[in-house]
Amino acid sequence: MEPRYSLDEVKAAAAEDRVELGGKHFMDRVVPWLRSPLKVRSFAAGVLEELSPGDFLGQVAYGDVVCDEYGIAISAELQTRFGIGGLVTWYVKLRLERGRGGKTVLMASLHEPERDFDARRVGGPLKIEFELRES
Amino acid sequence: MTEFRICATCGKGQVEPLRKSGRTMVFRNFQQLELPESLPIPTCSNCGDEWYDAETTEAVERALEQAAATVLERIGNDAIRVLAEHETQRDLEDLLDLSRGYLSKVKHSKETPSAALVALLALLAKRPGRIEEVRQLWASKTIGPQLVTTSSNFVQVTPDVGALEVLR
Repeated sequence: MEPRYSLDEVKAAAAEDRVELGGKHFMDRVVPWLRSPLKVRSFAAGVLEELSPGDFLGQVAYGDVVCDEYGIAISAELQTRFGIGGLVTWYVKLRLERGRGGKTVLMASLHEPERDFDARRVGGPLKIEFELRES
Repeated sequence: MTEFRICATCGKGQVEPLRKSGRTMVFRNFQQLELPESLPIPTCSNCGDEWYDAETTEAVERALEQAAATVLERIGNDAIRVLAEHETQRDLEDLLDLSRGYLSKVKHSKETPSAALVALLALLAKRPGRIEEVRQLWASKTIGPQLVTTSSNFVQVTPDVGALEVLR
């Protein structure tokens, strides 16, 4: 299965700050780690920047709405920048939507994985690594 | 602000700016701060999920900063009022290496104290006798005995010389 949305277009929209964060308890699951909605937004942009085609897991549909799912191990640099060393693997769910100002990334999930990422098509299985290290 | 559109979570509801009370968020040192009822956040009419674009995120951040400042100023003021009964403001400023007049500025809402300072002032206000401990701390330049365990009738203290002292 291929991603529904071009990752290049996702990254292009993210680079221009055309990103909306939302979904069930989105902030509830990320803010406790980062302590500020602006930091969450900045972190989300960093994750989108690091996403690669190999991280693609599959698609999920809610009615007519289709989202791409990704499982990513973020870089040590990104962990350090946000003070979350050890929170390596993240689940990402997104879609791309055309709006007035161009395409916008709707990031519906960004949180700790609920299972190992066994389904990664190219990147291969990824074990959950999500435990905060003391700096 | 977000255009009206279909929710990417449920695919059913329309996402529209919504003002409502009772919304809270973790922010910095606070486990929960309330967002103003007047703040519009794009929200799905069906599933209730909230969507944060750049503008909304900045507005929420500003609202949380304001809410945090209000709480810090209030607790700081309460603590300064209690401590004023035990120590002059000038001595307290000297003891905590604050610039002269800083606590007055806090009292008159001209400065927002840091969370660290508010925590310290609040802890001192709860046990004003500890002001003297701070004075001893700077005099001795060591943290001194450590309180290990407390209960209503039992206190265990480890002196910095290494021996264990048990007080009953």
